Amino acid sequence: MVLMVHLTGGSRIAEIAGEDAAKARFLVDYPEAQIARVILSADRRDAVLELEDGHVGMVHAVGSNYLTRFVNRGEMAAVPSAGEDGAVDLDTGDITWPRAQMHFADDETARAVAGMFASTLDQPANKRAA
Amino acid sequence: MDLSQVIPDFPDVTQFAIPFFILAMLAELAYLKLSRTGNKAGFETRDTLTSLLMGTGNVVAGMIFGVVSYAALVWLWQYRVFDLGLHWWVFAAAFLLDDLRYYWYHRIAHRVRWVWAEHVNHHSSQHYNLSTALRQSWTGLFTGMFVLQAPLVLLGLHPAVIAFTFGFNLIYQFWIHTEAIGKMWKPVELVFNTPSHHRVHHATNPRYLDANFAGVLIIWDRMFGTFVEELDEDMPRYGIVKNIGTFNPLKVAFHEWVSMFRDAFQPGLTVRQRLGYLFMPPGWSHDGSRKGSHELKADYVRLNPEQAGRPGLPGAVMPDAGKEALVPGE
Repeated sequence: MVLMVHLTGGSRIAEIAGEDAAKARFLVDYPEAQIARVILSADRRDAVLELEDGHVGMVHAVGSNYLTRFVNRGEMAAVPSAGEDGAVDLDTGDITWPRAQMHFADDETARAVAGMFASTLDQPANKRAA
Repeated sequence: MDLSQVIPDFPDVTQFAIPFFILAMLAELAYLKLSRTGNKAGFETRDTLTSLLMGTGNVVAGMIFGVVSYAALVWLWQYRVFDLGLHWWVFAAAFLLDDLRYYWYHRIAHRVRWVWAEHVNHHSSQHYNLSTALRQSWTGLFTGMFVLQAPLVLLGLHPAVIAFTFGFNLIYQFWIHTEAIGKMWKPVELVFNTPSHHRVHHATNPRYLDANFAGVLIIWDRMFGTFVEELDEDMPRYGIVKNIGTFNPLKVAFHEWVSMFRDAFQPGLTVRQRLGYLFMPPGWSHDGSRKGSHELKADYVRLNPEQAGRPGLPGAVMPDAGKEALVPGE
């Protein structure tokens, strides 16, 4: 059965078509989010969204579908990868998706993305969304 | 006649159905491919493999742990009120009453996190096909929900009769996990659980959350106020409100248990708050920072006030209701 699904195209990995597609997918789950900026990964498997209220949104390809996350700053640890240009290593703390490496166009973008996850919001905001 | 000696020889009808399950999945795959239904969730290789492994694990877990619940119910049978024998109507009554029992088990599974922890895996796929039907729990017996069968046993229904008839219930529930069948003949949709009704149950659209808990007969949802019709203008989106990022069967089976106990044992909580994380509805939090199904429905109505009061949705809500909480819960 599994082989038949594979042979009929069932192993295709989802790609985020563009910034608008990333926004649209995120808004399905978080319809009230105000999205200020979208950064797409080079492989189009991840989109990091800067939200107007300072939080971070994520759209991540899982197989042929996507998952979304509404992230507090400081809730996930993101650092530019030491071993790969333009990559960001993400530690989510989520048992079903504990780690990810996102691949961006260049180091500058990677640093910007890592900075978006840094814990710089005021404490009450962090606490509210924990 | 000693029924306890005779009845346990009943076959497990679900095992006889396995070849049918495989053929039906192949037929559904072929249909979805040949009909080029691009708007359907379809099949995915790793998702299908995970569902089949979850189904296999469910059978193994049932063989290992099912002995405990079955033995407990057989022990209870000595205290039965009636001796009902093995008439045809006893099987019919067992099927009917156990379907009612299933409705309440299922409703509790969606409204009590302790039980949701085992049931969530069945909803964890973002696809909706016949393989999803086999994505079953490994930990169902840990929740103790088999006690809901106790009234049936005390009434005089032998646990083997209940198990036998529930096998047919499970087989029935297999074929309704499909997008290949649209709405059926109205009398059928009125009385029975159908693919359309069960698509609603698996959907994360706010109006469809916590709806259509039926096993075979949808009349239970109609009677107890949890029925919601599938709407063409709001096609179901499958999965859970916070979708998982894994195809690992072990994580699928246990992720919510881990999350639940992490929440319950975080420092600084009162005993009441810890119990809340175990037994309140999914999405409950001690500080109101998460959203459960009621809050998600209220949000939807606040953003779409013309939908207020429609099936599955609350009446008008206050403009700022629920805005403090930020994230959907588990």
